[in-house]
Amino acid sequence: MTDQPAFQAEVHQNRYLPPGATVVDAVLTVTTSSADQRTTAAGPGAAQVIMIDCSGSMANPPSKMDEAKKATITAIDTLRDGVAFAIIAGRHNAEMVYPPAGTLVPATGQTRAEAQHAVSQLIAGGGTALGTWLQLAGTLFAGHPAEVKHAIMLTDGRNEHEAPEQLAAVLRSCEGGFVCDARGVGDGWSGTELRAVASALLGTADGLAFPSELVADFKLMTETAMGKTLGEVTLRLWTPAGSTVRIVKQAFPHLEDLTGRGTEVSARIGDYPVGAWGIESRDYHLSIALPAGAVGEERLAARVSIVSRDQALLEARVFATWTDDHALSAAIDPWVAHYSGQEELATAIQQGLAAREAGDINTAAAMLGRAAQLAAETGREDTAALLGRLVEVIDIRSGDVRLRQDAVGVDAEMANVRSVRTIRITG
Amino acid sequence: MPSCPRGHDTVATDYCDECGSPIGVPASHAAASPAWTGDEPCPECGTRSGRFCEACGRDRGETAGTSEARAASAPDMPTATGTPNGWLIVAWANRDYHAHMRAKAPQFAEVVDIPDTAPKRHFVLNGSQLLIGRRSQSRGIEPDIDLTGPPEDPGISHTHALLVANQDGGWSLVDIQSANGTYLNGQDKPIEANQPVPLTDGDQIHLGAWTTLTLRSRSKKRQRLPR
Repeated sequence: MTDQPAFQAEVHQNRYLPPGATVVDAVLTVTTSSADQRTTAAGPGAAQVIMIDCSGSMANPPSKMDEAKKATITAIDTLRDGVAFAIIAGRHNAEMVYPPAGTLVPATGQTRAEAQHAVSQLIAGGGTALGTWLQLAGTLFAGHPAEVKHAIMLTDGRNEHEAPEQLAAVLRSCEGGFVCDARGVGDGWSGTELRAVASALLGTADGLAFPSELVADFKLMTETAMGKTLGEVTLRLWTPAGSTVRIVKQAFPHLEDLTGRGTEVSARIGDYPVGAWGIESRDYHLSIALPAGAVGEERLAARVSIVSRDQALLEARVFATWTDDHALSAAIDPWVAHYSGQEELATAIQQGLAAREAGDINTAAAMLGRAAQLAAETGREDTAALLGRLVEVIDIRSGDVRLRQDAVGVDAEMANVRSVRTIRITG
Repeated sequence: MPSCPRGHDTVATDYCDECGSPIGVPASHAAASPAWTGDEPCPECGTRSGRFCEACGRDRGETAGTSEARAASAPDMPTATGTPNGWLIVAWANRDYHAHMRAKAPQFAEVVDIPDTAPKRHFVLNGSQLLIGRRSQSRGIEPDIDLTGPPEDPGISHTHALLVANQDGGWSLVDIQSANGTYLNGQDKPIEANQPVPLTDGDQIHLGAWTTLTLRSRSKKRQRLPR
């Protein structure tokens, strides 16, 4: 048996509500730690599939295909001994690169070398059908006993060779089956598509401006996946009779709305998927509406646990206490305020980009201006820099901006794919 | 099975599985809730149903207060602690103690004002040992009787004192070298550090700038409730 990571929780909230108020907001910080995670052979069963884009555009410029091969070869080196793996070539269809049979094989010196040789022989040519690639990955993972199932999907283009409904249907069928990190390289990918994949499959999405970044990124993604010790983890939420779960959202390290993804355990309890866990720290924003209590009354508003294989690894509690002391009830918890601001920033970017793509210049300028203003106010220099390629700031304090005419497509995709990133409260 | 002040059955012993009400807290607000005659929706959850609310299980034939009284009239019924004679700590802001400390130790009581409003906090005593203190994430301290604010009494040490269960079912208090000491029942001198002091029902433990913890036997408290 492996050491399970030790889970710790911290709840940030203002539990005091004015008379008649019904909504309680809280930020739950979940942090894992463990003395010895790097025990290799005894590690939990892990499986990894890499989907490498081999469409025709990967040859233009040739550095894209070359770097993608190098990155995949490095990722194969990073796999622990015994980790089940497979490599898929993605075009308008999905083909096994290694092993030739449609299955996963354990990583050994020999299988790694064979896989790396097969990868080095790949040739670009064909289209892009992300759903088809993911479907093959899902088939490989299905029924495999590994605790942690992780995939990397690399594309340089849009999902042009299948209907959007096809991708959506595959994502629905793959949900909970494996975790997938989605990456775009070059300048032809869609931030919305990558985010859809990462969101459904509880992974990360990002764009790489330069093919030369691929090797380090693939290595990091694989190392992170190898560090996961628990596979399908859920956030279990108890709320009192008469209450409504308004929001269950991962707030850090990136925004992921889980509100609609709960499954009912009992009338009072729901399970929300949070994917695989290693040594890490995440924040969740919870918002519960519950029947108003009398002044002076205290209620438990939520009982939160992190559950793996039906075992609760921690429990945290969110409270509501009604008071007529306005000094107590008026204070907004700084963590809740911080993530509310981060959520508004993400929404402003996404709505601004959607308006920009639809040709609605005025809405785009207004929303991206608000985003630039929020980014400046909250010290988000990374986001401010991305927005700076799309808009020219006239007055940052009022959020007055002008859309840049010289912005290129990938600038908008990069701002889109990174819009869900958040930072923790500082100080 | 324990039941909450509103009469729900609950497996959890801290807060009710159904309505989230704290267990072991005087049901003053629950008793004040209007009697429920039957035809209107359940006052707990709004559901219309037969004698027992189908959604939250409340018995429409009685108020939460009478269910509490029923529990009191059956002294052998297990309480939240799983024993007939549970104990409870009530933490509250004590003006007399604050004035006393201000006179006695002006160096800190003077700069710490007693809060205008400090809700009473209730802790059910269970287990064999309970830590009284203030939470510190950086130091990994999670007191059982957590007096972290708001309102915050900064005179309480993160690890201030222990409550230790006695063989006879009662509790003893041990100051664990707190910075500002632990006082009992208005005495002038703090109790000696690391020496257990047996407690009795109604004892008042003073700590920090204004905090007092009152020890209550839950069985006696119940008998004082209006029927």
